[in-house]
Amino acid sequence: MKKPAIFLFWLLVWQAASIFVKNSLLLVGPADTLFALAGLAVSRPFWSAVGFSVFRIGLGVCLAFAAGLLTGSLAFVRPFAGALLALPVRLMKSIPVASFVILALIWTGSKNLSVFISFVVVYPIIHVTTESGLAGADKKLLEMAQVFRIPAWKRALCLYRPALGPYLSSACKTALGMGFKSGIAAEVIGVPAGSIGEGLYMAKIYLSTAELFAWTLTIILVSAAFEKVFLLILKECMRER
Amino acid sequence: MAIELRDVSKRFGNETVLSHVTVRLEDGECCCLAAPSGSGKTTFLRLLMRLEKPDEGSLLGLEGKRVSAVFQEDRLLEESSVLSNLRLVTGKLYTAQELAFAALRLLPEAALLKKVRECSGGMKRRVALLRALLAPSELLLLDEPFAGLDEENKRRAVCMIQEYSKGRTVIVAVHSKEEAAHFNARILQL
Repeated sequence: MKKPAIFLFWLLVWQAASIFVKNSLLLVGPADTLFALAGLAVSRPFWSAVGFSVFRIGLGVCLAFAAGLLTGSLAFVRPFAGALLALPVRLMKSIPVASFVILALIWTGSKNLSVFISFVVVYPIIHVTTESGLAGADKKLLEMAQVFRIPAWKRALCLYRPALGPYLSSACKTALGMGFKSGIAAEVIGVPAGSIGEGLYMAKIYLSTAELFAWTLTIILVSAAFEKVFLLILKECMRER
Repeated sequence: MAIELRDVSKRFGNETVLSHVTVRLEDGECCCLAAPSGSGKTTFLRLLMRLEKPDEGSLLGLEGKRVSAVFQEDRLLEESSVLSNLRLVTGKLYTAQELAFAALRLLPEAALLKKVRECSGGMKRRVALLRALLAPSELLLLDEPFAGLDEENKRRAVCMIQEYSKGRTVIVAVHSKEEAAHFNARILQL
């Protein structure tokens, strides 16, 4: 009851603001946004653009997750590897996304730009989280495993995996959203044909604020759906049995 | 091969916990460490578990010996079931039926599939004891295994320890000589 009421309150604030501004170029209300979204949703290019962007950003996020998990674990097991990887990970964290976008445009063109960008945004978060999550495993349980000579694969599965779960879940909540935001931003800069980014860019060119809002709403919805599914799978994988 | 501690000392900072301890444990022997809290029982057992190194002296005869233990704390996987905790250390040594049958000697049937975090303190202690007894080992180290157990469960635990300690070297750390008397074993002095 509380959540829908809060949601409704902000919808009303938005609608009131749009009525107050009285300029559909500056701000459109929720009704106009939904109307524009309905208009877009009946066209095939809309769904193809959603598929194009979600597939590529999702691919970048999944690759980053796998790579971050792998190198984060390696950094934990072999501190030398961790020290070696620390510099590129730090660079990836601090270099502006726009620099990566321009670099990727020079290297590979715009079609798969969002795969690369979502990868470079998500990877360092997962790497660092994996390394610190593994380091946070219960020392007393690790001693128990040492005494009972529990094999390494069982330790990984039964002791490290549950310790890593909450860290990864929390990091993914941030990283997935950032991955989507950066992926779409990259598409807006690179304007790959048939992407959500192109849709946003065109909305800007034609000064169609309602369409801009409709695309934005679409991004929010697909990003939230992707996050939900990803976290559900992660939770299942990290569950102790 | 007998286990021998020769002139072993262990310090933590400025505090000397064990001072020039010399003990010989014959193969298959059962010994009790009966001493009040803070007298170094846990440190003594941790040395035998190879979780600590002595500052002075030497430990002999531990090479190649498999150890199973009840720690001062239960050290169980709280989110896993009781049987999963046992299976973690036994591997394929027992069939599911054998494992459940052994566990039922100390636990009620309803507890076997429960998550450990849902078990009472006494139940957790019994799971920790079962884990130590069922794990394959030549050296069995029990640090206050009866903590939190009522008299009936204590009696059952003693029976099971006596049965499963056959052919193993066993050290049981207890608070009092009355508890040590259950085992009819040599009392070690630290």
